[in-house]
Amino acid sequence: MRTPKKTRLLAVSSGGGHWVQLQRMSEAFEGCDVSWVTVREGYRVDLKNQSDRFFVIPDATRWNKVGLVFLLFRVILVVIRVRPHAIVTTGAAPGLLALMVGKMLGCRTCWIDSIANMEEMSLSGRKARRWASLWLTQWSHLSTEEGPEYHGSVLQNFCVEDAGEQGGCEA
Amino acid sequence: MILVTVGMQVPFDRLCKAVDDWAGRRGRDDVFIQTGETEWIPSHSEYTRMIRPDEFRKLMEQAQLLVMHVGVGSIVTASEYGTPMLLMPRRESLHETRNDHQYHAALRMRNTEGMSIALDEDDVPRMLDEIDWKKKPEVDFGSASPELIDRVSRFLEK
Repeated sequence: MRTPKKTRLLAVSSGGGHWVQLQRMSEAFEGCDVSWVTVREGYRVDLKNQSDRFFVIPDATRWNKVGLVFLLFRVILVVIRVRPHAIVTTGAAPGLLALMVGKMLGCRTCWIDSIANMEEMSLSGRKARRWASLWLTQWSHLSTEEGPEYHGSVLQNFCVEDAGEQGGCEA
Repeated sequence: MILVTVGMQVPFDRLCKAVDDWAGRRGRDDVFIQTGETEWIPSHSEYTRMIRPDEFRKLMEQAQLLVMHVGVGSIVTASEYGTPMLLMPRRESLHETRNDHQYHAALRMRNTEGMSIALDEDDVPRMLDEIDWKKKPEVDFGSASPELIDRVSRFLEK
């Protein structure tokens, strides 16, 4: 019997907390053929599996329109090279662009909004809605019937005093 | 050594200046600031604009106190070292970030042991004077929720 083909996964994030959170999802990526995409070469050391593919793209925020166009170009190149079946991102701008490109090419796409966004979905998270097959928040009080879905967070005890009112704290 | 770090995207001079001024007044020569891409240059502290992640971790290991913006990456990385932290949020109204998520996080973290929260730069010098350098932050952010791992894992299997 032929072994079923591994899911080719593109795991995308910008730097700082987005990258930290993406790493914390790596258990969910077991069994996939993972290619990582982020904004700094120095993050390569964080990979549990050093044989995974690793791509560095430029950083850009939505404040920088020229940077975004350049970034989009680089994201398209990576997606063409990897030909992923699925894309998972923890944001921000690079992840949103990757979901847009991926969705148009028929990938399954997943947006995990950063845990930092505890009062409302991030702007890129809201924009990601139409490009994400699975659209997630990490705060239960931000989830609604129309989405985003909530299934817990990458840092179960992240937070939080006086969260009672909004019911977001599990700690 | 006091390590000040404000992340790699937008500078955060308000915080850096507050610590640098304090260092000047107190005659401290052990402050190191990662300023981000800003024109401003500290007068009393060593500094770098950007820093590689591996160098950053080395500095974090050496630091007795971390002064940071309320960035998830900074806080989670710092929590692994058990070093006391002084945190100050970026504000949207001052174009230091895109929304006030750091401010909301700061409000919620105010009562965490070993974490001092300055809501603005005026709080910083007093908090630096009063900080308990021995008090380790009592934060363990924990692992990812099994339910989240499971949901995404199933999503990838399809």
